[in-house]
Amino acid sequence: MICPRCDFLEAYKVFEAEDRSWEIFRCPRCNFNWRSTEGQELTDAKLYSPRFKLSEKQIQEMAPKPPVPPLRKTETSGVRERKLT
Amino acid sequence: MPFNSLRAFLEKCETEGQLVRIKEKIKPEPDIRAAACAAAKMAAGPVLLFDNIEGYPNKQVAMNIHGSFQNHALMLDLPKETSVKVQFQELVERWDRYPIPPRRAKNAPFKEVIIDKNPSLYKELPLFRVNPMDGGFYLSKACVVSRDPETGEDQNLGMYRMQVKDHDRIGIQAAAQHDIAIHLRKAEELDIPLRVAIVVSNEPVTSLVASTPLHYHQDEYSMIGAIRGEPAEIIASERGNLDVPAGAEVVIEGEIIPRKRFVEGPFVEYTGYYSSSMIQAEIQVDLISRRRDPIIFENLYSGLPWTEMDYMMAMSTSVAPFKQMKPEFPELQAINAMYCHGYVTIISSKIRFGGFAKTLAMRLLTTPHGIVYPKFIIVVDDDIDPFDLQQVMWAISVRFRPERDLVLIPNAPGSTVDPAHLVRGITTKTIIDATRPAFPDIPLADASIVDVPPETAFWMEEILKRRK
Repeated sequence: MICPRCDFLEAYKVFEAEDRSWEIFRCPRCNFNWRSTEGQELTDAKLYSPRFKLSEKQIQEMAPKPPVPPLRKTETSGVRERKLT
Repeated sequence: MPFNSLRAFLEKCETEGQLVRIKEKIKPEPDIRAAACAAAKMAAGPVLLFDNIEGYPNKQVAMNIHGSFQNHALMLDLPKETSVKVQFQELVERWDRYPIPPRRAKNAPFKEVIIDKNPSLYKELPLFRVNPMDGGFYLSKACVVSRDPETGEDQNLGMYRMQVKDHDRIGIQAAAQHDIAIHLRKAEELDIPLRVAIVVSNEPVTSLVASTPLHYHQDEYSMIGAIRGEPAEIIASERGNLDVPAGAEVVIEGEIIPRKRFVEGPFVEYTGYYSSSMIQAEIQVDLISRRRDPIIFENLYSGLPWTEMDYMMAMSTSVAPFKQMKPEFPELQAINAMYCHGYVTIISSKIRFGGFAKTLAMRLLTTPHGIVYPKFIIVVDDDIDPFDLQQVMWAISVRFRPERDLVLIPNAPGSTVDPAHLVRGITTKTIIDATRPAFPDIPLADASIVDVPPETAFWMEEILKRRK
């Protein structure tokens, strides 16, 4: 199944209504979720608005929000240990 | 009497003619968003309760809970006709009752069903896409509880946009200025997951306070108590050390995965624009507890302003900076920060001396909310009601001297979702001093204002009588 937004080929059905009135699909690359009963402009990769399409390159270049902070350094006591050979 | 659950508030709205039930079968998309948009744009827009949603038997959706000043007044247990200014003053007074600490409940209806194996958000919630180009189905009105992972203190209850991405995965927007981002930063510095509880469908004061910019060390539950005039009822989460509102419909528990970001968005923010897709933090869900069916799922429609979001945020973004500034500036009369979370903010105050309006505007910019959101600040005298835009525009028209009263502060912190940014998160703060110049500034050339005839109030009543 093609993701309508990022054209990834491995999108898949993730859920179905009990009465089978619709199905929900998800894309593991861009996390797009859609329901089968939404309009073709949302469910068909060829009709999805170009303004909202996502490419692999765009995903690679996305800024993290919030930024990931540096790991906290373990406090040193001033005493150094070293292995004796 | 304050309301202990969303259900209790819905009953009140029904009694007051502020609830409309949609019993016919509707589609999750586009019907829910379109109806919610309509309700918020109507005069005295009612709460909507959808009883029959295609594919979601035994589930209901509630929209537009805060979506008019009438609903807002009912939330505060005031007559629904209460004016905006009176609601502001009421909240200002109730704020002073802080802290009223929460009361611990022994049981909660949402503990009746506990799903701790393979929980599925798709199964438990009647999800729907809020706006057509959103990246997925959003929890746009749920509250998130977290604690400082280092100290175990400073529990926070906040409202952040959350995108359901999989059965048990939820993206969360933890913008750097929000309290949860402080918790997340500490957890990530220590490389440990941050435990969270997501609370869905609350009594309306809980949502109001969760979206109010309190100080980091202030306790939201004690503020809910202050606003309600009665303690909030809380109960412990199933896992971790978190307190959640006992009246909730559904509680989703999990942890934010440390040091990783995943594609999220876009989503229509309070600006009425889609924010772009970014990589954001993500929650691994491990437990869902909920009421027995039919649950009521409350969500927020955020579209082209004004929507419910504007009504819900109108007072919280106005009262919080007012209370934070008032101790140092007793001259303050009121603050109206209800336009796009306070991007445009109007301060009304007595003026201590020449130039004082600029002092007030700059102080606003150092309040927790004011650091980022306001970019256009109008200061008016105490004879202007900041909630009456006709009066505000008049003050700008006749008291603002562009060559002396316009201040621009470039390269200042700004909202990251402001569509008008040049650099994301950076803005120019604009101050419009529309007050009468006070000594030692140069006075206005024509300083005599005409009075409203004292008989005006009498004649208003007379005209009203004859109009019927």
